[in-house]
Amino acid sequence: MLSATFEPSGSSSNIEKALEDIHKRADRAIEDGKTLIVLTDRDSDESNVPLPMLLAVSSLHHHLIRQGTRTKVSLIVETGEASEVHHFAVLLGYGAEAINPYLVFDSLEGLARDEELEGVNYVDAVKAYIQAATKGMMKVLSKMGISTIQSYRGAQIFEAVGLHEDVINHHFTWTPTRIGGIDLETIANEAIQRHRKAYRLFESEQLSLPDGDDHQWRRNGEEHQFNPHTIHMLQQACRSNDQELFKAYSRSINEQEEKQTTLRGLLAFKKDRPSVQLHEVEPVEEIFKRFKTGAMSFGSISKEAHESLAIAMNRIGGRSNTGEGGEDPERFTPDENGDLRRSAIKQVASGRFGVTSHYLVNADEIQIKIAQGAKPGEGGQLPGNKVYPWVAQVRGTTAGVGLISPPPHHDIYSIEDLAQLIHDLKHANPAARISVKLVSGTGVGTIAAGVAKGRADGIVISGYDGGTGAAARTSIKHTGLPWEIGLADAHQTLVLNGLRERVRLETDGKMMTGNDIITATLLGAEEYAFSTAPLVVLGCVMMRVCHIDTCPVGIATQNPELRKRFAGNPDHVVNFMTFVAEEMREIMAELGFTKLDDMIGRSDLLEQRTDITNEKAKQVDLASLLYRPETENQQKHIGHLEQTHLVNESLDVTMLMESCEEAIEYGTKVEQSYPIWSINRAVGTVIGSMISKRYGMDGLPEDTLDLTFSGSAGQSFGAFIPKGMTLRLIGDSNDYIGKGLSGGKIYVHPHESAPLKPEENIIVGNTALYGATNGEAYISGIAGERFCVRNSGARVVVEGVGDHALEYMTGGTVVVLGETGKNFAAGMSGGTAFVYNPERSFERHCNRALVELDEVKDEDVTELKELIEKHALVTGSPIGERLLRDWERTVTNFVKVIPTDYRNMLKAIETSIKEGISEEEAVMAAFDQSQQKKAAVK
Amino acid sequence: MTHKYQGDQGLYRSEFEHDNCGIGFLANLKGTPSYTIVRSALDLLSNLEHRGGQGAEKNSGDGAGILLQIPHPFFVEAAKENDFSLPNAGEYGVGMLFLPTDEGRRRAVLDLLESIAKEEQASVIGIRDVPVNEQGLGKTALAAKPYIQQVFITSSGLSSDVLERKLYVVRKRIEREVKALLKEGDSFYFASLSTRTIVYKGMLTTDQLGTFYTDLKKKLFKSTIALVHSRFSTNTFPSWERAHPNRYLMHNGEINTIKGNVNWMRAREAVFESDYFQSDLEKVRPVVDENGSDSSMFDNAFEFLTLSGRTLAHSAMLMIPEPWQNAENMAKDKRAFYQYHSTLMEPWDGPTAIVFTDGNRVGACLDRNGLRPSRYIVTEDDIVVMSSEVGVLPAAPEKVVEKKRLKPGQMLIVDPSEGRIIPDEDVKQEIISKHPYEEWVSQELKTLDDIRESSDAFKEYDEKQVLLNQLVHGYTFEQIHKQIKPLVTDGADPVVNGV
Repeated sequence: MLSATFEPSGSSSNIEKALEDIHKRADRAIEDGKTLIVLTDRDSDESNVPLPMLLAVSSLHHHLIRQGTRTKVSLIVETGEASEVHHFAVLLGYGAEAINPYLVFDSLEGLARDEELEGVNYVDAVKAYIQAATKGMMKVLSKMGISTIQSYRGAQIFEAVGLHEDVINHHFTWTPTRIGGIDLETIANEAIQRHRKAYRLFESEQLSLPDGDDHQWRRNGEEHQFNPHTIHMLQQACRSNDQELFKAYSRSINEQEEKQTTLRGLLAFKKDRPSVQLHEVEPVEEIFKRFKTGAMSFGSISKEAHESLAIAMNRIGGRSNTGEGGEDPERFTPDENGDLRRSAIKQVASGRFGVTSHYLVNADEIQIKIAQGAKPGEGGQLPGNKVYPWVAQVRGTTAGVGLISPPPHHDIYSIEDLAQLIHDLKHANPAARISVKLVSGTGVGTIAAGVAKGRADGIVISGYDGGTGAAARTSIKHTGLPWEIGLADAHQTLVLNGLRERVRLETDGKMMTGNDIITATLLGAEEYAFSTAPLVVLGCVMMRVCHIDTCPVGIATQNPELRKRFAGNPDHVVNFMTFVAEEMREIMAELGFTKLDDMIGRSDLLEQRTDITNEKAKQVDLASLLYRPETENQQKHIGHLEQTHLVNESLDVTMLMESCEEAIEYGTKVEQSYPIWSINRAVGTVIGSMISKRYGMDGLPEDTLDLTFSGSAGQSFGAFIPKGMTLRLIGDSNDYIGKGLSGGKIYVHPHESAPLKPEENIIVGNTALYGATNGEAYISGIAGERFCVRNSGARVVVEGVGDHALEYMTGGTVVVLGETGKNFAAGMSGGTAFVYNPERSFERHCNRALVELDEVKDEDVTELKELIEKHALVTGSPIGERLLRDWERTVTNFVKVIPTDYRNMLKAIETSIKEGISEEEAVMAAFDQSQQKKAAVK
Repeated sequence: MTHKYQGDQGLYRSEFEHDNCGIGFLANLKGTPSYTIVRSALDLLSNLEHRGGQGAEKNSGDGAGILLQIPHPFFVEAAKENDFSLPNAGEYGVGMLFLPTDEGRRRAVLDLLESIAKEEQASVIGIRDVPVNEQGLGKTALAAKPYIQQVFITSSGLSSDVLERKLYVVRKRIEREVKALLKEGDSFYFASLSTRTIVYKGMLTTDQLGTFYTDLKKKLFKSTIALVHSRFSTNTFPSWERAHPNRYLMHNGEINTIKGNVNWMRAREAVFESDYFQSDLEKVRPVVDENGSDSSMFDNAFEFLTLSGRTLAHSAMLMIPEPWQNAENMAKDKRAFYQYHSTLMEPWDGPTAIVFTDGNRVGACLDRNGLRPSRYIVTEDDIVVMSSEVGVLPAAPEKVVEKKRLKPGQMLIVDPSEGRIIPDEDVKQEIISKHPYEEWVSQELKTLDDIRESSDAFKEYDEKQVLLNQLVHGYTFEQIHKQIKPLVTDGADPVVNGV
């Protein structure tokens, strides 16, 4: 048992001595053969200050590694300091083996005594807390792509922001720290201050705790930039088109940034160039082209709010973003008054909600969201109470059933996978720019370089303080870095690699004023996205209830009553963008620039302020942030070169086009055969995009283009193909076949001369039919892992699947004629599966958290039989034929998999329709009913 | 100690670099070496080009490479041309060396190598310039190109296994001692040093590999197995060393826990003991070269585990275990095996497919979640082709007798000496049944519940003391009510809105 406290005396904190003392005592204990070391701060008292526990643990952990004795002992931590998941995560990540957060438990006892725990007693509360905290930890692990706590322990997957290099080297060895920061003495002083204050308060007999929270603004809490005062000023300014008031708002924000809430607040512009006249500076219209609104999905915000943003951005020639919830095709055509409600940027996130060929061809830019600033590594969440029927329809899901985007894109587990998705999307819309949104995090610069090499046209660096909507607390507060670091890192690394010219660099994350944008420009950004500010302009008052559908201003809600209160107007957003652009022009004139292009990456025009009063902020060293890499020719480092996309080398363009172009033009039938091999990727996708462009959602009549391929198909065969296309593959295929299938048909079977049994051999790779929305696929053979993940409408027959099949599926029908891997149907909230299960082994492979297993009922038999008949017909499947021959028995060997909530909704709708209500009303009635039921349960 | 790498500047740190790729191997199940295997492997590699990366320059690749068996007859001829002669196959090792381009420093390095070899009772019997054809190489690749030589080392009377370990000791020693002789920008790197395998690789595109190294065009260059790799790096800072294959394996994926693994490896090193290395153990520490990529650090650990007496499969099971904790369907002895080994080493975790070899057998394994593709076919003429993609080596449909994939957590071993593919279950069972792991675990392993003693841990609740503690630790009202409480009342980390 080692005391983790230190005893300051006079002007000396003695913190270093205390740490060394711990090292020595631990060494002795190990020599004595002890195997457990407990670090405790329980024995702190008036003269002994608790050591920051993370410092104590990590310091000892690294000391013991250096001594070569670390594996001889376990480190156990007893601390009053740790109280939330993130605290536990860092303690474990820096080597702790076990944690006793005794003060949390004591606090729970206090709560239990005050009957604040909804009747839970102390002992149960501790159990519940441990369970919930463990669950939170598992989430952190899985986000980081780590499967066991054993590997997570000591993996120190963190970056330090604001710690001096010496502290890192001695106590947090091998942790990146890039902007310097506070030293050990400052850490000690802070602990001493807090300790003294605590005793002062205690002795003053104050018997309650102070207020304060780092999340929501309170009068005496931490500084927040958006507070009632600034919100009011901004809204008034934009509503009444009052530029002077906007300037007042802007000053107020900038002042606050200076109060050390942001890194950019520590920076000042160097004004050593002659200024230019304002009229010489490029007009706002030029600047607008660089403006975007951030990704907020229809679903998380209301139709009114979503469309207002789109209209405003289209009016000024900027770009709005769909977010990850799809977009109603009705919005793709202009309104009578000339306004366009279509979002120029179509987002593709892990959920792939509503990502169809038609959606993609209606984009000027397709944005792949790898992660969102506020919740990297985690998908968005849309609670069931916000999944109104109209939201569900656009997303291809079931009303009333909550939606979670899977944390990863199931088709991206590494950089070459991402390159493949970029390739696929480029083929799905060769005219669109493909951008990749990365979270500002440790090493984002190198990821950006990889993305540029993967042929993205644009890269978005999203700051940790971006994003609205709902996410777990641990994610919002403790993941990601300020955009300043990520942006500068990305720009520098791209320049160093000679890749900067090939991509447009964009940033977002609490962009609030012209000042912010100019800073971003100098650090390397050429485009900028605004999220929170335009929402505030539309009326958001930061009630922070986005996740519970009670937004009082009709923005973050789908509730028709609340939406009536929406008072936003596209004009106000236009005003906001104009004010920002004007403000930028003024700064540009002052700094002596007429064009933004000339300012991009000119970090030499920024300097770290020397007039900062805050002790901690003073110790930060921003030299690396402002670093400008030497390059051979110091030309302008902006994205002005085209990436070499390979669309023109694709099989579609080199071979298919010839016979298909006319057929698409006139809708005539085509039948053709081609050889294919693994380097032919995304075959059919370009042709598919041409159909969608011309014929919209409906595509062409079935089988208009009937194309046969022989060989081994490259990745993403038939990705996003729409109705009217039928692709037959004789041979086998790689990963991602039928990705985003949008109404087309795919048949796969072995060559007739192949000696192997299809039902025993693999024929298509991993992640087949990911995000399929409509269409059919018949696959005579076994598929790899993650089959039909996020399927929302395709009808599919296959002869065996690997692990995690049908994960997060929300619609469609899947028939499996053979064995399945484990974790079948995890997170599946819609659609139906039929699995052939003569050995009765399926039950243990199925994840039954959301689904029920049932026998095949009379009403299902027709559909099932039809699908198998078609499968046997188009693929010649031997097992299909065999099962049909003995149909009576076959049927009894099938098990039906259906999500419980989904089945209940279907039943409710069916009942209502029988009562004579229209289908649309029936869905609404069922939705209301389901919400009432949930409310009753709560 | 801080870790500074070449190239660190501004916000850039080379430790952030990631790489990924396409991999493949080819083996003749019947153990017949041929040049066809080499040629086919190069063709296969070309078909993986789209999984590799190119930087700003089209003709400077991120890296490509091939690992082959040592072609003894080929080297006998090559030695003759260089006026030295070789002992029998297996009695010498070949080192593929990346060296300084400066002749003086190169000479100094080789001198050091010779003297270390001598100290270890081995001798350098010959050095050969590796013939290369630089045509078509990009500017960046050329500028970073090291001087490439092969060094032949022998130690009389040693079995191939013992010699293999000796070569390892020699290599580890020189890696440590050579630093004083080098200037910034100099290369010193063993792509391989073995009695059985040799690696040809570099900062090349897949097509360039076979033309750059003209050895690979010689019909006398025969092998039973071939491993190829096409690399995609997030950066293009020039590096010939970071190409794969590494010495024992190549890797597609990422090790997300690398920092922890390396730290723990370092912590464990101090307490290593080995009958195989005995006092030489001191010379091979540190096992992991922390300047390498995650893949090469993985390779360092894998190499050490294997050379200290484990089979390839055993090392792989130790480093990339199947999920066993909650695997109710797993056989008891297998669970015990993994549980036992979990006390020795934590998993090297992340999306990973690896292919490994000791020059005799070739194996492959896949991470527990199956996050990388790994497909293989077997043809009627006994060729096994495994790769990140299917169809990379076109085969007539009527000739393919099996098309399979590695499933999550699975392994397979191709053993040309036995003429067969050993499936996952057999490979693992053989290792599991070597020791009574079940018995060991049940007798030796104690859990917290075993040692829990009843105590008066529940102290009387002292409201004042708790308040004081809360004040000392900076608790606020909100913290208790909005952060701690919801974990109990909602059972989860609270969902809040972004700022």
